[in-house]
Amino acid sequence: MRPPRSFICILFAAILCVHQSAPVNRTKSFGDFANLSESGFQPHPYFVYELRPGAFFPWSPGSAARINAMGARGREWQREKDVSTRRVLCIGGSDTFGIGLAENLTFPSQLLLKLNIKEWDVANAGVPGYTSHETASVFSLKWLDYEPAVIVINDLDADVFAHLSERYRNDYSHLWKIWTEAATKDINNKILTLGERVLQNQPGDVQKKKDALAASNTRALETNLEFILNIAKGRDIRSIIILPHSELGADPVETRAIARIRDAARRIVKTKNVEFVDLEQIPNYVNMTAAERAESAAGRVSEYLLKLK
Amino acid sequence: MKKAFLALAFGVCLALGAGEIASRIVLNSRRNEWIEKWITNRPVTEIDIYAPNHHICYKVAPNAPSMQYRGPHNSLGFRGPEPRAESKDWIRIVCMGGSTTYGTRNANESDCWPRKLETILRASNPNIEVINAGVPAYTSAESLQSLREEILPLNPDIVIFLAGFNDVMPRFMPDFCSDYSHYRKTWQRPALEKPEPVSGLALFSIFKKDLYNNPVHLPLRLLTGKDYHEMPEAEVVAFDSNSAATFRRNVRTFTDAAQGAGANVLLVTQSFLPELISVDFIQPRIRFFETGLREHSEAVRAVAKETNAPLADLESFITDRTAFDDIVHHTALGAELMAQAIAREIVANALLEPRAKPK
Repeated sequence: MRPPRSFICILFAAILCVHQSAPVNRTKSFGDFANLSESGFQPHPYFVYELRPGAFFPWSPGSAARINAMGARGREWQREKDVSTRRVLCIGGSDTFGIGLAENLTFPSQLLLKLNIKEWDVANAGVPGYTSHETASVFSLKWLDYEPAVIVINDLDADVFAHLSERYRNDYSHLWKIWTEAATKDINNKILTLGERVLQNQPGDVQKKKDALAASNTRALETNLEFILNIAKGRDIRSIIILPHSELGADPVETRAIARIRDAARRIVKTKNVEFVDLEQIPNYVNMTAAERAESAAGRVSEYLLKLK
Repeated sequence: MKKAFLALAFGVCLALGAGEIASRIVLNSRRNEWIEKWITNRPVTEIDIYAPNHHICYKVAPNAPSMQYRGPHNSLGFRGPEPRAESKDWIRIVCMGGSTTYGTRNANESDCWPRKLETILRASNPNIEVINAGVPAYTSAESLQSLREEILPLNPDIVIFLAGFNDVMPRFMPDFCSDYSHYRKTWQRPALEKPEPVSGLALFSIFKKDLYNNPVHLPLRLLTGKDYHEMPEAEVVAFDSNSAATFRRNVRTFTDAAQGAGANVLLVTQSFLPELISVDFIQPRIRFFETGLREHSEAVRAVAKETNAPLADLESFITDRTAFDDIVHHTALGAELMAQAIAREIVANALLEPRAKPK
């Protein structure tokens, strides 16, 4: 006997809801960006790589990322804007970009939903895999032209990837290799991933991570963060830093590494007297889905923004 | 007699033949210490000095080799002596910019204006260190990246920034992007290639110095610049469409970042003499360079005013032709004049006074 049509519709909707809200791994996988197709990116002389305008990342049915003409995720937005509109620029890495999330569930999109759309404009300038070096570079050489009123700096924990990789160097040249070819396939006709293009080093086993962490430091992260904040301050741009959650490390070594980054960021927040959102202050953050995390963080940021005159 | 002649001729042919076979073996050999020695002992060319970089496109390699008008280079890849260990008793001044600062027309590092500045300032205070962090062909984008990655970690007390000339070229390249990605590209140092199998007499080729097709003779501009086929009309359209806005943005960003980090910033406009144009690439584009340089000087003045940064306005300061080697590069005399002018601004603005460095 065939089930009724309404039952099928309800079942399909339930499957879709479950899929969209399926919890990602409790721990963040720092290498997620490395598995993305290289064809969605292109090399850059100052940022290692950038999003390719017009690229398309299909995560799953109903969930995809489109890259606009400016090389950012989401709708097309113009450099020129209404004088009365205040632009929020979200910069960072994978979480800002929203790997695996539908467009309306990313952190920048959820932030815009919580703000008055007539007064605010929110731009997603996150790029998967970007560390503080690339974020500082792209902010100063590209996104400043878009005259943000506020910048939200996220994904500071992306630097852990560099801190847990061997032969640490402050410029992260131990992590990156320079991408020079244009071909998207290797000599065996296999489509290359972004990681295969740009990574020359990755965190190893737990012991290697321990050794790497001991040999690394947060000086580069601090310099890069201060660099962004000083530029923003010089142009009367407000800054909000999102402090990462240390329990999102895959193992105790990663947890320690993230905690060290948190401490460094908190020092800078204090000396520079900037606003911050602490993800560890969000109840049950670790057990949330990626979309829920984005929504919670957006909620905290919007509370601050809505108080601004 | 005839037999002797034939024997001699046979011997010569045999020797030539043996020599030819041996030469071909040597030339085609994969491991040949003699050829490898030629590779390592070949004269240094300019490209040997540079290394690709993930965030700055290129930089002078640490401890890069020297050649005429290039070097010596220290462990940071800067021209000049090793920086001192940081000390609160010493004042550290870092000079940034392109080839004018680096001193591409100054055979000796002591003839570059940063070193002359150090000599002048040390007359009144011996505890002053001047670091020449200029890199040939750096635009404001490379200088900004270098500031963040290399210079701010040195905790400078004063940063002197001279720029303007190298930012003209991105303005007349088509498809302008404000991050200069239309102008620069990622690159790798070209590898020396072993010669193709020799046709003709290998015996004589073996003794030639230019045995290898040596790609490292490529100029830096072709290695780090996007492929470009000269299109004069498109250049005019591009230049007339692109203002000094990006250059001004970068200078302002540079100043904000350095001042925010606790350094005093002294901005310097580029001095130049257009009538000394000699470079083939520049000559047909003289309008771009004259207009661009003046606009960039205006931009520097505007940023100095906005940020209250001291300014050494040298655009029209040096008019003595003997002070210039070409349109923007100085002789030792020109470097001395520049150093004196910059030193005057440093003293006049009390930049050598002790300051509290940020934590």
